[in-house]
Amino acid sequence: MQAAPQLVESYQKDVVPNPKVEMIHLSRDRNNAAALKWARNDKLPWPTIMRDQIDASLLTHYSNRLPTYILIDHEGNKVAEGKGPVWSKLKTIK
Amino acid sequence: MKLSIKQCLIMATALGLGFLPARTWTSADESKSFEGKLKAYDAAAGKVSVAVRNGKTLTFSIDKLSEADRKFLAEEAGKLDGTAENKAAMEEFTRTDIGKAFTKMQILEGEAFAPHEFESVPDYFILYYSASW
Repeated sequence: MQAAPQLVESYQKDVVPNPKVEMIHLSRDRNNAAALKWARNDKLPWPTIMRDQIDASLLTHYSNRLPTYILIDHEGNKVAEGKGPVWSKLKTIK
Repeated sequence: MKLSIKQCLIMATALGLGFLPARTWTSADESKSFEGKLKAYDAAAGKVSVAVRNGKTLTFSIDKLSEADRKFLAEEAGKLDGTAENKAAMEEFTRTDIGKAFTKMQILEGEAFAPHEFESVPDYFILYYSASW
């Protein structure tokens, strides 16, 4: 279940240039070493939050499916769910 | 001590300008000019302090300055206002539930994860739930 190079490319193309949006990887790996190994191997460019920190926050409530993309606003309201709808909405945020 | 956004803006504007290079200042009627380094600018009070060559600091009303100088001050204050506003917005955001959740972000730097924080508060976040397996 690793990030395809296309996701890194989409992130660089659609998220990085847009200051109104950031993508955060919520790692569901059971240990941090596995998450780090993946990040190193695929040179993941986005911020990551480790599983133990997710479980201690409200971020655990948005989804329990993997992989999942959820777009939320800065108040935590869900705006879109699923890669297609999230990326469609992303392209309207200017 | 907690400061309001307005207090932050005034402090940033008043204290944050000392590193700018010396420039030529011109009087409102453009009859006089002098060299000096902007040391402080209090936009709320309309006062500016300029360090001059003899080591002294002159503090006077911006009404005594040319239109170009007043424009320069407004631009510099605008830059600092943006920084202070951004900082205040970040502090406010990190007190919210969603903001607190993002205080534990890390990002790959070289071969290891390092703590990461937003430079400014985005309007939207894509939460990408995934794992290496």
